[in-house]
Amino acid sequence: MNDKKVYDLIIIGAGAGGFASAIKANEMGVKALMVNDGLPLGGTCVNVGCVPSKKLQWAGYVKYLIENHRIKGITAEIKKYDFKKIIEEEINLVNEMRNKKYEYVLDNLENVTFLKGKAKFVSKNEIEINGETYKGNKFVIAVGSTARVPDIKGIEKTGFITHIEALKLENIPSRMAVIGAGPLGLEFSQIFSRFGSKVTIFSKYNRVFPKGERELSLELENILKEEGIEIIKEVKILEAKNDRDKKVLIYEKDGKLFSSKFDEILLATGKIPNTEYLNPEIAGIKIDGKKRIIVSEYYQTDNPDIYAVGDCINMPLRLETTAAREGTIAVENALLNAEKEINYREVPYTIFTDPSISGVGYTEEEFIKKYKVCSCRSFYFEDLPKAIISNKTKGLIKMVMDPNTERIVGVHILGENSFELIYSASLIIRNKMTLDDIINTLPVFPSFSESLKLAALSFKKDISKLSCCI
Amino acid sequence: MEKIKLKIEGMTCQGCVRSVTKVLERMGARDITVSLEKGEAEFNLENREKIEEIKKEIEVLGYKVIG
Repeated sequence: MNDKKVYDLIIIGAGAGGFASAIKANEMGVKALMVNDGLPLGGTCVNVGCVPSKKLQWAGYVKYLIENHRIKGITAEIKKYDFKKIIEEEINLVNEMRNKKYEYVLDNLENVTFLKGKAKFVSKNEIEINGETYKGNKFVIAVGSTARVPDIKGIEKTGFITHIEALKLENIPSRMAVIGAGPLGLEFSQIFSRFGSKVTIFSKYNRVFPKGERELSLELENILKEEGIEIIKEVKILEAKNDRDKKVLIYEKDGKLFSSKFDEILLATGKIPNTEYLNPEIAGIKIDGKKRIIVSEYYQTDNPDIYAVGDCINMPLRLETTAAREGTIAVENALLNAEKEINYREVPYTIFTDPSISGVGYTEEEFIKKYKVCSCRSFYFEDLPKAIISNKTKGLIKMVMDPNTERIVGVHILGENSFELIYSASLIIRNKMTLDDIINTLPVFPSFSESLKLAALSFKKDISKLSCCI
Repeated sequence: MEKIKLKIEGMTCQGCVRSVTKVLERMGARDITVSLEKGEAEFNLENREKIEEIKKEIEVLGYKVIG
């Protein structure tokens, strides 16, 4: 084989995981090839994920805040809003961020060659791209995932949108059905509701965000309902069909049949890894029943020269942050024979509703299941001075402690800017801090940070009987 | 108004007591006493139709309402 087509490392995919791998390979000075197809450079996050959805969420938040600021001396009104312009601004932002964070970065990776095309394995160490064969000593697969279409009779024919189309809608649907009450379904439900859609969420579970802390799920559900979002739980959707220009969902709830008409159906029922085209069996890679690549804690597949990271693997917490970190680590493990891994119990996540839900570490339920003991407290933002001052009293913190060591093992927050607070919580967990370590700190008064100290203090004292700054 | 008493299984600490109390408060219950030792909640409720909804919410929290 022509030497030009032999690489120390071949990276399949150019999203968060692929780029982190490429940057690490470049730093190490190895000859690397990165190949990409499907979404543009940057993958899900910058193109059709975190970046555009948070821009839309922010616009909806500002609109809602103006309409609901609750400051008696201020009368504010929104004279006009143009949804098309909001989408235009979002798309411009995506182009700008993709250019700055990916295209420009790629141009500066002198040791990395980039190819556009679909890659598939043709042997254990060779891939084919656009009809040409390339050999790699090591590989990192970071092919990402695609929206899953649930098995509902007639759904394809009726038509639906996923998060990708939802970010480019020209008009707000009057009535929108959202199927799924996980992070994506909850975020989009509130975004479209705040822009004027009458939204109905359908969930097969008995609570929204069923993987999270129960009390937070319940509280968020109440907040969304207060905003006018309908939530139908423990429901089975049987069929979708068209009725003139409407989309009809037929569903079963408590043994009875119902049907409702919508202008649009948004699917938010999880994602499927893009592993089919890869020819995994030829490469000696194992795939599980959910089409995820099975990897070790070091991101190594069953083929010792092939590693995999990001949305396409069978690890917990499939986030932009984990994908990128895994990409860096996988390259080190592959090229230096290192054995680096991630402790997913220290990794925070957020659902960007308003208020947002963020968590790190064990939920109460998980800790009890694993260790048979647990101690937890809920601290409510209605007891936090800064929250009272800012009229942001909705939500709570649930803190989980190991009663044998008094170490904090889980923090779950529903509240204003929880995505900022949760980083402190992740440091608390990473550094194995105890209740007293937190109680003896001095957070700024008044601040939302104080809530972490008060949550810790609530294990030892009745917060309602304390003055400020204890 | 007759007090309502619910037997609740699964409360293990004062955190659980507070969580159950919060649900009852939100659903409009008054004069609420939740006892960890007895595993029960006592309260007044004007709109008694809400009792099934209350039971369901307590169960979503992970506890079992047994009577």
